[in-house]
Amino acid sequence: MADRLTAQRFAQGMSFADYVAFAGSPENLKRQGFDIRRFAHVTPRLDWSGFLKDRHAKAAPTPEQAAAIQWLAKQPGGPAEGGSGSSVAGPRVSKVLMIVEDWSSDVRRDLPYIARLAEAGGLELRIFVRDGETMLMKGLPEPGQSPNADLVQRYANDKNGQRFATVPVAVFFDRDFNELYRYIEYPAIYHKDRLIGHLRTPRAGESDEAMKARAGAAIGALLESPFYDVWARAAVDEILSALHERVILAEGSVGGPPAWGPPRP
Amino acid sequence: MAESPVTPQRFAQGMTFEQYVAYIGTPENLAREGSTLAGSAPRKDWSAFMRARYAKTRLTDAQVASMRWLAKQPGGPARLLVISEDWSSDCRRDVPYLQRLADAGGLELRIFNRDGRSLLKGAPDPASSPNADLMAHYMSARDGQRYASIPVAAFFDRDFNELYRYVEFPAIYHKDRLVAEIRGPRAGETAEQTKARGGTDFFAMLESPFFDVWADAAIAEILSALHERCVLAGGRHG
Repeated sequence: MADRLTAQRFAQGMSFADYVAFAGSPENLKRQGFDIRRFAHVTPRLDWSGFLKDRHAKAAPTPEQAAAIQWLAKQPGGPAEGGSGSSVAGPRVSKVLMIVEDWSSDVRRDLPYIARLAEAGGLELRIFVRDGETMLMKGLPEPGQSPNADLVQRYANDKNGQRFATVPVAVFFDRDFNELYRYIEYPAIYHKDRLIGHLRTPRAGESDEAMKARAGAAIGALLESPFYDVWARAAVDEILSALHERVILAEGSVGGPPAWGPPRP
Repeated sequence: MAESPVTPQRFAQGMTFEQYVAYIGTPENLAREGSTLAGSAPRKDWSAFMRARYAKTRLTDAQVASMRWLAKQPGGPARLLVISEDWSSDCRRDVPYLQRLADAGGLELRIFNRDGRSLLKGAPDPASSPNADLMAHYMSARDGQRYASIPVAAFFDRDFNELYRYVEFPAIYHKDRLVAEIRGPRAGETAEQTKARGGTDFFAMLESPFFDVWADAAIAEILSALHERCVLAGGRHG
């Protein structure tokens, strides 16, 4: 990775409350979106602001997840609270950048949970939209195609030899914008391509229209099932475990003792 | 795959969770060889720990609803076989959560010891372990070798068709990498100091909140895998 993200660029993102307000605004709704239940582009967008707000209210981390993020946010390596300029940049998680679009069920699943995780750990969360006025269909955005093309390019998903503008992206940083961990799209245990591929496979004698209607209904039901929340919480576990591993391996590399036990003061 | 030794009769020989917890504290169990990071050791009585851990373990509403949905599907999970040893931190982490999962779905759970009077070394041997038949069937394979990893949690439908097998720890917990780091020597440490510090740090990790984060991740991994199996077989939501 070339340059680090700057504090100024990060600060241009939206807080969760700002993003929810934006999601319901005319400015957002006039942008091209997508409805998975119909497999179709939709303009104006569906208004997901109420859904996101309600989901956030219900997305509290478990007590152990809250304790884990608090422990991670209290690791040494940075200056005392309010200070700056330490030469020892350690793996103390401090900030989260997310790239999202509300038409994405993966975003609607994870964003409220990650916002609650950030709140529990006292992390600063800033949210950026992926698209401009039209939905990016393939590849990565050119500068000018999206106000956040620079971030989408920087945090593109490398998969099977190609680069995708996958959402959500959640990038965790220390206070100096050293990247600690990047979560992309969905937790590893959710084999989405396999499941959705199965649901969208035409059944014997099914027309394309009939397949779309059946698969759209099946996917809609899946998104309303309790497994949607099982995967959201699994994403939080995956993030916590990866950040924890980063702390332990980093501490060992400098010869210091592992920071186990209760959170450090 | 070899023919499964898990028949209704064999399954019924296992212990319920309550029986297992009671057994852990018995002289019979405590007389068996145990293990710590350093190797063979007398067993510690973990019965109170297991009872307390079960009492405070709560699955999330979504996990409970997911397990209930799975258990109601045609060919859904109905029975859960667990191979465990109380000296294993992975077993102590997961077995109480597995019982909660069984509670949620109304699954019949039966627990079997891995070892006999001595720790298992090498391949399971019927001469030294009463459950060698089960352990031999559920050996894990890694890097071209076979291991008697525990816990094993094998999920079956009513007819004892195996649906899914969870082994040792969730995929997000990179235990080998972490433990190697924790137990690795620090600059200026003697071998004795490394051993003492590594042990202290490892056991402190088991008391950290990450122990439960990984237990939660194991439940999510199991539910997601059972769900995938069900959907690919034609199961529907709604």
